Amino acid sequence: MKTILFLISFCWTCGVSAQPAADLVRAVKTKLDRVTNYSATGKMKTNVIFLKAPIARVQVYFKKPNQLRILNEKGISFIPRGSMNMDMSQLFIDPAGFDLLDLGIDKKTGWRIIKLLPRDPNSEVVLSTIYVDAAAGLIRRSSTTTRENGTFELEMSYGAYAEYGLADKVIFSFNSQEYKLPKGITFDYDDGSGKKSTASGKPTKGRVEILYTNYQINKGVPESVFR
Amino acid sequence: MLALLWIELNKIYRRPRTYIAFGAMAAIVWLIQLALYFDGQAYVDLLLSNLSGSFEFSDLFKTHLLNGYLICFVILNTLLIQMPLLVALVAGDAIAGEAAQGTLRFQLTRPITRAQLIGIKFTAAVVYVISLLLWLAILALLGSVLLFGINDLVVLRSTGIEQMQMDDVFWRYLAAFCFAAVALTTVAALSLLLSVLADNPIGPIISTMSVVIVFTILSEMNIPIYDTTVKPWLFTTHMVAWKGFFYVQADAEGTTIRGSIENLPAVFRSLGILLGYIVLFLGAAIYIFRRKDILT
Amino acid sequence: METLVHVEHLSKRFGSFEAVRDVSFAVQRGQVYGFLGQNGAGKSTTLRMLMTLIRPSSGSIEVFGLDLFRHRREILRQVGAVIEKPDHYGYLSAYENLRMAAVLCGLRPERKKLMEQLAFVGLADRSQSPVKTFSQGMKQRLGIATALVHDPSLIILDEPTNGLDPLGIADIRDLIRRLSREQGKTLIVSSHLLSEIELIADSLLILHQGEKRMEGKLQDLLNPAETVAELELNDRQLADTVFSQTDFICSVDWRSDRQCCIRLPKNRIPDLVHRLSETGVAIQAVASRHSLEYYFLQLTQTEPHAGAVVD
Repeated sequence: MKTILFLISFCWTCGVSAQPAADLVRAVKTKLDRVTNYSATGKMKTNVIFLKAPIARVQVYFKKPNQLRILNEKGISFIPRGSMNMDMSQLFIDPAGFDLLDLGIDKKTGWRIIKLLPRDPNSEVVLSTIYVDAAAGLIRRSSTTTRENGTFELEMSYGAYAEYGLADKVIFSFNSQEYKLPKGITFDYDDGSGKKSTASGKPTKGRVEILYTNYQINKGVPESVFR
Repeated sequence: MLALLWIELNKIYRRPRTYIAFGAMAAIVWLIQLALYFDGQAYVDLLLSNLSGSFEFSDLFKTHLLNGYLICFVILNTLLIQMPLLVALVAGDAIAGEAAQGTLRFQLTRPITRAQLIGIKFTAAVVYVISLLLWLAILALLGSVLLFGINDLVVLRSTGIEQMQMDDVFWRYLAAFCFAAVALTTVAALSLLLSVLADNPIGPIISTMSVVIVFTILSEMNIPIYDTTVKPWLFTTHMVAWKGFFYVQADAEGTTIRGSIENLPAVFRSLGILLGYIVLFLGAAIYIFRRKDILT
Repeated sequence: METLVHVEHLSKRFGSFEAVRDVSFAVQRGQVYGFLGQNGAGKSTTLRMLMTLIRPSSGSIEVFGLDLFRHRREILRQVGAVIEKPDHYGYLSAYENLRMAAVLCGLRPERKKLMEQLAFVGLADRSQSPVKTFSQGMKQRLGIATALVHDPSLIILDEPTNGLDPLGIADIRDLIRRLSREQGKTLIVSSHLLSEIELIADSLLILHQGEKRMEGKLQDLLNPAETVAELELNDRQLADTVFSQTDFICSVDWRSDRQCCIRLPKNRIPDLVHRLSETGVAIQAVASRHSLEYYFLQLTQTEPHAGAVVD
């Protein structure tokens, strides 16, 4: 995901093809550039097929260029790998190159669909797609396919902090790997329901939803939280 | 009856070897706590190794994960499989031990019925089971909470993970300890039955352990032919139902429902089966003992 | 006299082995009733049946006029027993063991009463000592104390002098006498020691290989006028001729070709010796035996030439 966003940034910098799409991306970046760091509290809901977890109160810390940490300071929260890509500014941190492919407007939502194709054949990112709300200058959805880690999807809803390009709600979908422990270790209780496991033992989609409140923008974030 | 029970308890708790069980439990619990206190990180890494492909775990996460509630769960997971041996040490000795040392005559030549005597021995065994579990609760739950603090509880099953918020855990332990009391009472009843059949305590103690081990292996093995025929009726299958209190319900989005139990009817069914076994074992013990010739 | 224990056709079978076969007897109130028999004669099995430790294969037992197995608790409230050896909880004190026995009998014992009972058996000064530190004699006395704790009318003591030294035996004998004479208790006492039974019992039951061989009052068996002469002679044929011509001889029992037992009036042994000598029968040895001992030997000998083992 991170690599894809680097490529998007490169493409935009180079100003190759699809000028209207590039303009749109520039407008988004301008908004995001206003934020150098932030912290926010959030309510995180995790939905992974083999995991039952309560809604957790988390603290999200961000610092440019690419540091993001989600912490449950009091309790326990399972944070998916690649969660740092939840921040949209990651799109613009590296001037790597890619081609933009303007797929036009999504009829249902009216969002602009732009595909980003990395030029580097060894790039971790295979393909990424962003859905941009042109009127608001905000990325509403993104989907990034990587070679190693499958596909990440992001869905953003904006509110009070839209002017900074910061979402009130982010839904982060990811591929979770298989989970299985030998019964001889866990000594499970077989309740006789005949219900097979919640997990199939194969890779499945996981989803994390964070509802942000109380953004503290550009007020500094200590380096220690990222350690 | 109370006076007789008091005497029986006096016999159990005045015997130095009774405290071997308490000592052994303390040793196991302290060893686990000590190991996790100094090398908990390695244990947590091992637990999470299966998940590291999907999730990233900070040190803070690991510190929170390794809390008193989790450690108590680990201890219960380990000890509740071993505790039948400790229960058998006392319940298996109840009749056969008295027969071996000749004191059974001392009791049976008094105006109490044999059913009464079995009832007293059984009640005393239940009290012993409860005292063992209280000791375990003090060591494993209170001790771990004091040493490691509390946090959310994450329970790893073979096919999934259950997470409960910290203020939704304590009552589950209370329920689990009560259930474990019934489960261990089943072992006590079995041991008492075997004790009635023998004139030497070694036999019933070893027999109880053998039955528990064989049944536990059968309960844990995945053999399709046993899954629906034998396993549902083995008491060992239901002895681990205390874990049912740590299996939570989740909504459609996978969020733990606070205060919920995934399959409460199954836990009650297991409880019913265990109670059935207790009645069966105790009934058989009384039936046999009433007809038994006391030759020792 | 009131019959306290009435046993009819009592049998006990363990598989194919019949430990007790068709034994009947009755014990009267106030008696010291002796059970005599060799080891394995069925004494303990019979006493265990009397204490409901063993269920009879057939026969009936009535105690205080009630069926024992139907009125077990009611009857056992009035019976105290020490079956085989007195086993106690070694880690508990004598006082605690006695208290336990009292509670098992449904009593709420007072300390003073229990101490009195310990004093009665001579253990007051060791009341707080763990029983595991006691000698066999002390354990036996404590066993009797636990049997007496609920003031029973009938006391059953199985081999009470077993394993005791002569002083201990005398102690127990004295205790039994006191219980009978001073407290009017009825006692059933078993032993394989003829001398013991002889000294304490009023009535006697001789068991052998699970069967009753004899029951009767000791005074009837102990005929003071009779004795048994055990002779070793060189000529059986000639001696038999002498015996057949001697009118004061009650019975002759040849144990071997050279040994015989002659029951005869006590004062006629010299006469018999004289007659044998006159006829030319050489007498190599003469011994006088107690008539009860002779009885016992006669009753418990299955093989005519086998010697009975009597301590």
